[in-house]
Amino acid sequence: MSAEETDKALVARARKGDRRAFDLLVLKHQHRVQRLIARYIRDPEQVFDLTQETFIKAYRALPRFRGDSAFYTWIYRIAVNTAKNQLASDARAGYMVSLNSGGSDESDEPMIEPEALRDASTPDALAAAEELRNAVDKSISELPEDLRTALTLREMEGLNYEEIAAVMDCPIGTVRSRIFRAREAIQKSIQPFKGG
Amino acid sequence: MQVATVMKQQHTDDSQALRTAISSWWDDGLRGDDKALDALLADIDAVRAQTHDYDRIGRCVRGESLETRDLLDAINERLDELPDSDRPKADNKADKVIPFPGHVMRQRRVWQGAVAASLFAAVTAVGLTLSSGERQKNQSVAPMQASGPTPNDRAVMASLNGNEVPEGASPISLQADLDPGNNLGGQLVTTSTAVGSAPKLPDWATGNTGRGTNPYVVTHYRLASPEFGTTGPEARAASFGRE
Repeated sequence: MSAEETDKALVARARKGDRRAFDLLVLKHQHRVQRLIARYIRDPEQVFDLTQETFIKAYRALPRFRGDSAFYTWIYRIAVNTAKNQLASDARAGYMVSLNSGGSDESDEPMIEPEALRDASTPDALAAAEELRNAVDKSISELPEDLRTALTLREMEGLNYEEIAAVMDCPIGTVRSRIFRAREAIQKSIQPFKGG
Repeated sequence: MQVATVMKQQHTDDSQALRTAISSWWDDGLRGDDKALDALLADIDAVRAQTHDYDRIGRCVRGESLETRDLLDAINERLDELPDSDRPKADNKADKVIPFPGHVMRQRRVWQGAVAASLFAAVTAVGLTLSSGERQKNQSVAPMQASGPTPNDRAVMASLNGNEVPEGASPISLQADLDPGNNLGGQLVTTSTAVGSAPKLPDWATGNTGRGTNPYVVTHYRLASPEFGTTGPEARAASFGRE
């Protein structure tokens, strides 16, 4: 079952009224949807609102989702349209927005550099986030080489298990196990910093 | 004591299997494993906690700075506020096109009406054909043919033959003799009062034919047919309106 098939299986269950299946879809895609919307919208609170709106729209439109495209493609399209509609609405309301994405609804050109979207909350929150980052970096550097390589290929390069197996010349099951173990080790190391 | 150890080991194994499944699912690597998917669905909270950590780890590896938020609760709150009509129903048939229940019956009634109207039109046309043919059969001459020569006919004949102009003839009829372009070459023009000697008209003009279609009636039917024919389109238009 590929990623698309897994998502489609979840969509099929959600269409039959299984809310837990839709919960899984939210958990899987919400972070990426937030990052996508954050490329268009500067205000983090508005990013969270529009992310919610994206999933509400998707939920209501589930009966019309034919499965011609992957679920993530579909929901990313909803997210981009939602963000652009918000920009257009802000522009009509007189807010200063720069529509430098070419103006086309089909364009997914990012408007804002993601680095500019740092969660500018309290200094304490920023300090905690920095601490967490350092802990993760330290934990990654302490991982055995094979675990670190597998995790980096997955998270940095976005390779799937087959591709990582080909690069590392090992079975897919080994790749799955290495990535899982790497994550477990990092999770343990960041336990003291969790809570934000 | 031993049972407790076994149970604890079993729980640890289950937990380990679930965590492995979550990691695989997060990486789109859950292949053909419906049981693993069911396990994930059975423990959404575990999936939630673990994926939040996974997202943080991935963000740190990639060097991304945006702190995303877990919005599942907020989304579920908003979903709970949706009216029932906006929620997918259990075992709904949204992916199937279900015709409106009365659609088929209504369409059938429309077609029945159209067929009945066509049948009525056909019967009427046949009736008209038969009655027209019968009436014309009783007449021995063509409808537009005079039963005998008119006074004007007789005047023209008389002038051409050098006879006296009969009484009651129109002066216009005499012009035929004076017209220089009207050269009949001395041919004697006869007039006849006998009906049987009237110029023979084709059967289709007299209506005397016993076989085939009477063109007069057919023409009339064709002219009338659009009226009958409108029954169908009107009915269809009405059906579109209702649908």
